Amino acid sequence: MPGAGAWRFPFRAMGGPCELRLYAPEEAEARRVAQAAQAEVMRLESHYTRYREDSITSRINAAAGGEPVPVDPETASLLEYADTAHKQSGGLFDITSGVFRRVWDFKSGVLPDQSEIEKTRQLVGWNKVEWSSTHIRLPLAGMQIDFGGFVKEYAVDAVARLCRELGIEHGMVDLGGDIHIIGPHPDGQPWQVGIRNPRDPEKAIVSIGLLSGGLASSGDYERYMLVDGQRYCHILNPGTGWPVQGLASVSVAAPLCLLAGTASTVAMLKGREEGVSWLRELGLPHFWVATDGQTGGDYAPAADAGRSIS
Amino acid sequence: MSMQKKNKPASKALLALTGSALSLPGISGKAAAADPVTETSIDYQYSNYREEDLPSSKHAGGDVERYEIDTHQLRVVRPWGDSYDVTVDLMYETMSGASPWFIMPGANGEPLQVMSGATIEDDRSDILAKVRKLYDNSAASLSLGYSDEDDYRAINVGIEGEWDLGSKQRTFTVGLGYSDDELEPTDGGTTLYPNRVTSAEKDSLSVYAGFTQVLNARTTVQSTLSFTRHDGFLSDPYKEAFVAGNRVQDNRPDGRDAIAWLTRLRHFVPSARGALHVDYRYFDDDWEIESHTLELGWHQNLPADWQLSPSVRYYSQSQAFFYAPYYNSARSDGFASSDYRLSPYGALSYRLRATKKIGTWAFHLGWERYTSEADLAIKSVRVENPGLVEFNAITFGISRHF
Amino acid sequence: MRLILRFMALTSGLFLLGSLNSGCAVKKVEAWERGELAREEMAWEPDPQEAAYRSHVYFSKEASSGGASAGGGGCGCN
Repeated sequence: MPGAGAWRFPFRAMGGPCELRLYAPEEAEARRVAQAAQAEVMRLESHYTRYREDSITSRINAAAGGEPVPVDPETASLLEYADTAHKQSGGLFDITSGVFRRVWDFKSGVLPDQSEIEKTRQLVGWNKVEWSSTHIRLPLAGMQIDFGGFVKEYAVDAVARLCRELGIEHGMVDLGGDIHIIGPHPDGQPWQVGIRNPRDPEKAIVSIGLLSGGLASSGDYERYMLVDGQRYCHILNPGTGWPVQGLASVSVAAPLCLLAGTASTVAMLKGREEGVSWLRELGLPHFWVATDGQTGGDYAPAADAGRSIS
Repeated sequence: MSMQKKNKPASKALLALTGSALSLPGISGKAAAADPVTETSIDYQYSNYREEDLPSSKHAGGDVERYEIDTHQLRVVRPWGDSYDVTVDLMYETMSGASPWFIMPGANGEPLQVMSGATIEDDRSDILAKVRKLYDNSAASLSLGYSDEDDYRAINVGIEGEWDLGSKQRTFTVGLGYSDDELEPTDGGTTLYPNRVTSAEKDSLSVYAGFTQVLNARTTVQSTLSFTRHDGFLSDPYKEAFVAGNRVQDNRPDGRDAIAWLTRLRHFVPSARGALHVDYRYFDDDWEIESHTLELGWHQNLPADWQLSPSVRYYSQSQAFFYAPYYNSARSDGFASSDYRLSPYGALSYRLRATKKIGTWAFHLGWERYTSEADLAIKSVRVENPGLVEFNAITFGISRHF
Repeated sequence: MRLILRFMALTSGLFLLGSLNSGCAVKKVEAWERGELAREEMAWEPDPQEAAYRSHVYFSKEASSGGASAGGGGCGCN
């Protein structure tokens, strides 16, 4: 019976519900691993959150327009990753675009003024950031960087690796829907993961079986508002400052959850036409739902003719 | 459902992102070469080594009780700054007991061991400090050591470099070591031992190089070759040989060149939750001693952070060209030694070690039983040295990391 | 002399072994697959302190020496 026999460890972190499911001969052993895993998640959360003054993110943002801030090797590697994602996505993946949240209030139901968006746009642009393997400087006061767009997926991979090193062969890490499979069930069965229906998020639109690797999803249903029947979601194009259109949700499976997350986020940012071809070109198993209800990708319930599902 | 579409080259974007992801510490974890030390650790180990009494059938005089050694070891490893780590190893041992002195022929010509009359009591202190610097794909280390006993003092220095030769699956290591030793044997040049040297020196220079290769996600293999040259007083000042009815000082060549080739394998078996260790060493020197060492070990993980590791070691050596249990006439080159350590024999030892981890603490208890016999050697041996040793050793250790 | 020649032959053999990349069943291991290799019992010496002690004992009681490292103390062990 899949799932029975794995020890479960739910907790809250990174702004959402998390769970570790670990197979181990004894609960005490699984608990020890879960504690180490949780500590690692907490370490990453407190180091990269915007909500703590002593986090590296807050220190970098507080120094915007001032002196360069020294960064530790892990942060430097994350900045390097963000830079690669920025290049490979044609500038769409941009960790300086978080400042737009100041002008978009999804609770208000009111669209922001174009002039406010224009003003904020001056503070956005990864190309403007001065960074190296030891320091980073945001040149304009008011500029901000935000690791929130990928640190959760990184944490999922880091925790999975930690669990493996501590001896766990079969299990799953789930941080708010970003997943990494440590190993299939002991009987070899894959873990069944449900993909949320973007228009009915409590229900699954499709169920995916995974033996290994990471899975991440991006969607317009997490934070949004409806204005005149049009949906405006939290995924903003860094160039225009306006929310993306075209795709309602994208899910990608990749050897690393970090890669899956970048792929799905960039696909959402590229919109219907380019997003779908971006996913096809990457070659990773994926699934997309468009705003008009159409679905596609490897995991789509009805496979399109000519597209092979491996 | 498989992970990747088959027969499709990975996209440029995916390769670029994957490459970037690999430099993240959370993703790559520990590297094959040069693992940075991230935490301080302290280890203490106590060992008791006890040799079995010499059997009466092989005994011709002196004490039958052989060596007993108590050893205390302390090791501290800690990171230092961004890219350095430091290791300090301390060892203190106390030794007591009799040791083989010379061999004389018995009534039927069989060799009988005469042991030293007085029980030796000695203690030895040893310190070794090593500093290692880590670079992106390589590491370099420098070590300095000092060893002190009543009759012996040694200083040694070593340097080592290791390089990652590509995606951390192959590593190349090279090292150089030098040791300078001074002996001042007790009772040297006294009326009791007039021919025993009063002071002597020797030094050793060794160089080694090796490769480490990760074969797959569960197997690694390593092979290292070393060359050592010893120079100086290499004889044992406390031993004598029986030559044509007279006792003469143990006398060995004043140079010795040796090579050692060590190959080892580590293989993890997930279904058994254990790791297999195989180590083989080939040794050859210009004293015509050739030896083979084969060690097999299994490390079994058990519930509640226990680990049990049984292992077995087989050793076989040939004799030094100038060795004999006793001599009917002197050799033309003047060499003479009846030290069992230069005789032909084989040895088998069994070991068992148990480890338990509790939080940041770890405890271990180990036991080894070692027996040596001429019959165990690979090639047949005509005369067994009566001084071959059998011992039991137990070790107990405590570790903590911070 | 004979020994130095043997050393050179073995060194070349070792380099040959080292260059057997594709021929030797080597499988590319991604960084995130390295969890098992990092386990303590997969280290060359899971307990370096105990290994140093054993090496010291065998060095004192046998004619052979040498392994994967140089440096380290000599002793007047009898």
